[in-house]
Amino acid sequence: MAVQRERSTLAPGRTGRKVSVLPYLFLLPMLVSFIVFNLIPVFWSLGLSFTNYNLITPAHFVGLSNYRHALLQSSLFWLAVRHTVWFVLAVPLGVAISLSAAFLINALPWGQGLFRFIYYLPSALSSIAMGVLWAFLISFGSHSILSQVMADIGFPAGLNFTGPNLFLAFVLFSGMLVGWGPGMVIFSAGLRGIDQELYDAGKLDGATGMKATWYLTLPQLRLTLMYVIITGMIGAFQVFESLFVIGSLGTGSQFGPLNSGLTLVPLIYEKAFSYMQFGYASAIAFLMLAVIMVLTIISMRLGQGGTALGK
Amino acid sequence: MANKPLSAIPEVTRSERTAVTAGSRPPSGRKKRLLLKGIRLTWLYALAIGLACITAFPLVWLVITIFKPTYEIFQYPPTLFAHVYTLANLRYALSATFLRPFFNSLYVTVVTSILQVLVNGLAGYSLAKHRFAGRTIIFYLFLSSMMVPFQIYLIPDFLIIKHLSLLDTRTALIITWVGSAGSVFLIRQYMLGLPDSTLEAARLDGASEWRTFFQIVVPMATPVLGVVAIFSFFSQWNNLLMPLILIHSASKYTLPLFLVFSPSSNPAQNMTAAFVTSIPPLIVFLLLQRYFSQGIALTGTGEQG
Repeated sequence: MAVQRERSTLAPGRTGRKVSVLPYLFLLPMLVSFIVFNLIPVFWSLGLSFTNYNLITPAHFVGLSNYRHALLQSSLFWLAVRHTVWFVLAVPLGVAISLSAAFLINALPWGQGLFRFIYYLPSALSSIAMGVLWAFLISFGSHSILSQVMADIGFPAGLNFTGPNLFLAFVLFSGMLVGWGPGMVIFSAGLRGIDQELYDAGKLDGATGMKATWYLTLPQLRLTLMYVIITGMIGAFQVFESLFVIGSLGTGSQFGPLNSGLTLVPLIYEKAFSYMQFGYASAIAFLMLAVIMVLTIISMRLGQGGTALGK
Repeated sequence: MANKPLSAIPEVTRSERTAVTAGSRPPSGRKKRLLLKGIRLTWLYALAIGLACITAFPLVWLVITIFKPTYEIFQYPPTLFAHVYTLANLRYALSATFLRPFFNSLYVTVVTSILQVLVNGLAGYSLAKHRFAGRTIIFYLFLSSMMVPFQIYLIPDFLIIKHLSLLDTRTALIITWVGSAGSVFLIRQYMLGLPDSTLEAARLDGASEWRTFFQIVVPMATPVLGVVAIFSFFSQWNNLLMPLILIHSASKYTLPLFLVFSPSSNPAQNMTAAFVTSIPPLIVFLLLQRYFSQGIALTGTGEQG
């Protein structure tokens, strides 16, 4: 009897189905977690963004004033937007490195696996540990190890990467320098997936070398390319960890001196958990959500999974 | 040209440039081609090794630093090999100061990974291989939630955990990180491809649904479950934002919090802590490299949050 009931829930067109609780039972743990930590929070957060809730006094409805404040009155919000945009604009550059490295690896007659392994290595280490290392290299201001290296290779002496001028640039470039491994892996998988016959046919038309790359390979990788750029941009919008770790350990202030490394997620974090402005922080989060949603829809259209694996 | 053997023709078309410069002397042309190929390869490998030096730098630096005495890590130019080797830094990695956050992290991460595979695996299986009312709605709910960056949940999650009186517990870190719509989606897509006939056969043999899941479905879905396990391990091991808002007491710090909030005054010890923090993800990476490339191809990126 039990077997009969379970079998009837099988997907392929079966007639005479009876209602079974098993599929719901399988879904239950995920569903509970989803409702409690995802579904309710979205609406709660949206609701909070119209209030002045601060954890201590009861929330009052304030309409759109949080949004108005962020968009029209807060210079800090726009500062964070500008900083975030730097990270987003840097994404295509990082993707270019990923793509070039994939081409390079593909052209090697031996050692492909080894190089792919080494190129991915920084992404396999703990990202927090990487932050500790970077912070060490720039600590002690203009006397840091990195300042001396830069002076030795021809840059002006005494560059201070913990100062307000260079902190953001340092976090941006240090991340870009070693963070292109995952992109490279996607591209090399894409390259291996291209039909060899395409090149054989191209050769007959005189498409070899650079020409083949430009006219044959790149169009084949177009979707992958767009996908990697957009998911990269979504990630860039959410930059937090590297700024926090390098800022705290390297410069002594979270997100760098004088808000020099303040981007959107750090702003949300600070407003909510340092100033207890839960309503205002939620409003900023929703402004960010709007932009990210557009990007995510585009990336989903471009196929493959989503962006939120792991969480 | 007319009396040339036919076999010479493809050689000309194969590489026009070298054929032109080689003229009508095939032996020297071959030599030149070899030479050009050699130069090309040298360049390629020089470039590849150059890039490898950049990406290998962080790990190499950490490894050579941990055996140096404190004064030597500040030396400029930095020494590749220490003048004096010391194990003092490693002793710090074995001290209770470091081991407590290390085991906190290990506990939270391992439990999260196991639960992620189990909870999301069951949900994915249900959505892929069963029919029931509400299936489509639930699927689209999960799908649309993947568009929401998790920072949106930050404030309400904090409030919910506070209401559940779970603030400052490791349980809070686990339960906020287990359910993942992205993982469910991935698992469902993969399980749609599993043959119904095998599942049907198991049922006809009288296997219960639970047994079918654990003994038939799980082994067949190992690749995707492996991917989910790896990425949940990485994302939880490096999780900074959630512990930042949910954990207060130093005794419950996970490694990311420990590294930022309780650094030793000795930078050599901090390097050592950073290195040891990297070991578990490195081991997971080395053991499961195969799943890694699969996972990146499936999801787009290696890391999240």
